Parts: sequence; structure tokens; C-alpha cells
Amino acid sequence: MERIEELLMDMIDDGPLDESAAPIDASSVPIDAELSSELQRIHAQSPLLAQCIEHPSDHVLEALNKQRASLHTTLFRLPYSIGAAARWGGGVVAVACVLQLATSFLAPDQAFVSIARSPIQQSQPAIEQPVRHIDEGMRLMPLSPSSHTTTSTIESHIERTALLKRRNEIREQLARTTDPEARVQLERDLERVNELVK
Amino acid sequence: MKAMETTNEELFKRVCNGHHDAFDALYERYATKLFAYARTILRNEAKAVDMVQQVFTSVYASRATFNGQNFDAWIFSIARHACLREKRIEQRTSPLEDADKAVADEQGMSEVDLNLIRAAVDALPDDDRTIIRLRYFDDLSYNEISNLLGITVSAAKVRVFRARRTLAAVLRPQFED
Repeated sequence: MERIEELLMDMIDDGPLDESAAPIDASSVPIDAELSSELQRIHAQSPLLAQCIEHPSDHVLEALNKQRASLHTTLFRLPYSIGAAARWGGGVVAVACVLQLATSFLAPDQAFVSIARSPIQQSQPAIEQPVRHIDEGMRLMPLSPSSHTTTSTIESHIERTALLKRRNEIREQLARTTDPEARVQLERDLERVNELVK
Repeated sequence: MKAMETTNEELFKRVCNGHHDAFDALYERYATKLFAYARTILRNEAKAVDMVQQVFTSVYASRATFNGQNFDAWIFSIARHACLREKRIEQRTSPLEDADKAVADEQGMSEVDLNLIRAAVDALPDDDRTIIRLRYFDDLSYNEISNLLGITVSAAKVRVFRARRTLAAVLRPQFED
């Protein structure tokens, strides 16, 4: 049956698309009279459907063009930033190596000169470094391998972006709406989105 | 002109190597189609435009997972998942949306057959509406539809046929008047 339906669709597509929508010849396909007349009815709508094409409007095309420019910046800036960061990081490592080499020529007691505290500093109590208290329960917690994959990270990012966008939309609607009932519903929606965002 | 002769797969490879012109060519080829699909699924032009951006960002972010075989199928499957995810979120957060009411309103002001057809298509079940819109409103080929919906070309034709059958049944009373 599916093969016949596919063939019928081909016949409809190949048929004339002018206003007259002349009946198509279905005699080559084994179908009954009822389906044949149905086919003529389906085909009669072809000229109308052909006029239903919705080309993107000018403002959509403009928005898509702007988006292309912004995508350029977003997508191609990232690798550049990574490259720049790598170069910068490399420079820092090189400087550190030079310093390390320089200090290795000094005697251990010369390498780190202890700086005497100034009179003002001496009059003030030394600042204690904060002590990190680690909960025993956390200390015993076994380290598990991360379950995050690149795809799941992207997906969760996309989902979060959509939620944030939705939240903004609801807020905007809320700001515009004066109808109390609609406001209650919007506030409920906002609450729900907020929960999902968490 | 030269970029137009390049296959989508080659273009994408060049994009991954940082060629901006290849990105432009690829965007040129897919943006309006992705927009049309997203508009059909999300029923909102602004969201559809945003979706195009989201799809291109995802495509670029997950470029390492592309096997180099069929870029068409790959980008359309990313678009499908992104749109359906967005739609799910929308449905979770907007329970009040009443599509039937919108259709009824539109039917009330129908002045010619075209409006009648549009309203009837909007009133179809989701699957039928989507495939009719992709084929006739967005003017996509069966091949593109098959990639977008993740089905074969034959299945796409069968589904269009069945959807048109349903549409014909819905419109029969109006056209017999």
C-alpha cells in the first residue's frame, strides 16, 4: 500500500499545476474508484498549495544576515582567543623558566631573601591565612569520573539558553499585561521556568 | 561561484580550518531552509531566527563528531533535535497556548481559498501539518524533508500523500459548497 501511495504522490507532483488542475490519469495504478476520485480531489488542491509558499520576509532575511556577522565573531574569535592565550601562557612559562634558572645559580639561603617587616607592620598583628575546613564526609567522598560529555554539555547549554530566553519573554509579557488572570498565569509560568533554570 | 560548486562536506571542512568565506557559503545554503523548518515547528519567526543561530553554533561546537559523510543529514538532524527540544520547553512552560482557537479565528476571516487552505493546514495534526508546510509552504524537496525528519524519501512521499488526503477530507465540505 505504501508503494502505491508513493506512486500516487509522484503522480500528483508530476501533474499540471495550473488553475484548471486537469484530472490525472490513475489507470496505471491499481486503485479503486473511490480512491481514484479522492485522488482527483487531492490533486485539485495542488494549484492552491503551490501558491502557499512563504518566502522569508525582508526583515527576516536582514536578521539572518546580521546573525551571520555575529556568528562570524562568535565562532571564529574563540579559536583565536585560545591561540592568543596559549601564546601568552607560553610566554609566562618561559619567563618562569628563566627565573628558575637564575635562582638555581644562587645559594639556597640567597635565593629567597626574607623581607623584614616594617615598623608599621610590626605594630600590627600578622594577618592569619584563612584555614579551609574540609568536612569529613566530603573528604571520604570517592572521586567519580565525570559523566559530562561534549554533547551533553552543548545540549544542557542550549536548553539553559532557551529557558533563559523564555524567562525573559515571560517577564516582558508580565510587564505589558494588565489583565489580572493573565498575570497570575504568567507568574506561575515564570516560577516554573525559574525552577527549571535552577 | 566557485564556493557554490564545492560540496557541503568540503565547505564544512574548510569552515573547521577557519575559512570565513566557506562559512558564508554554508550559511547561505542552509540559513533559509533551517529558518523555514524552525518556523514550521515553533510557529514563531523570531524564535526561528534564533534557532538558526543556535543550530550553527551547535554545528560548530560539535564539529569533531561529524563523520564527513552527509552534512545535509547531520545539520538537519541537529536542527530537528534543537527545535523539538525548544518546543518541549515551550510546552512545559506555556500550557495556555491554544492553537485551535487561533485557527478558528483565522477561519472566521477567510476571504479566499488560500486562507482556507492555510487555516486547514494549521488545524491538521502536528505531523501532517509539519510535512505539508515543509513541502508546500517552505518549498523543500523530498530529500531535504527526509533529512530533516530523519525518514526515507519514500516515507516522506507517503506521509505527504496521507497528509494531503486528510487535508482534502477537511476541505471537502468547503469546496463542495
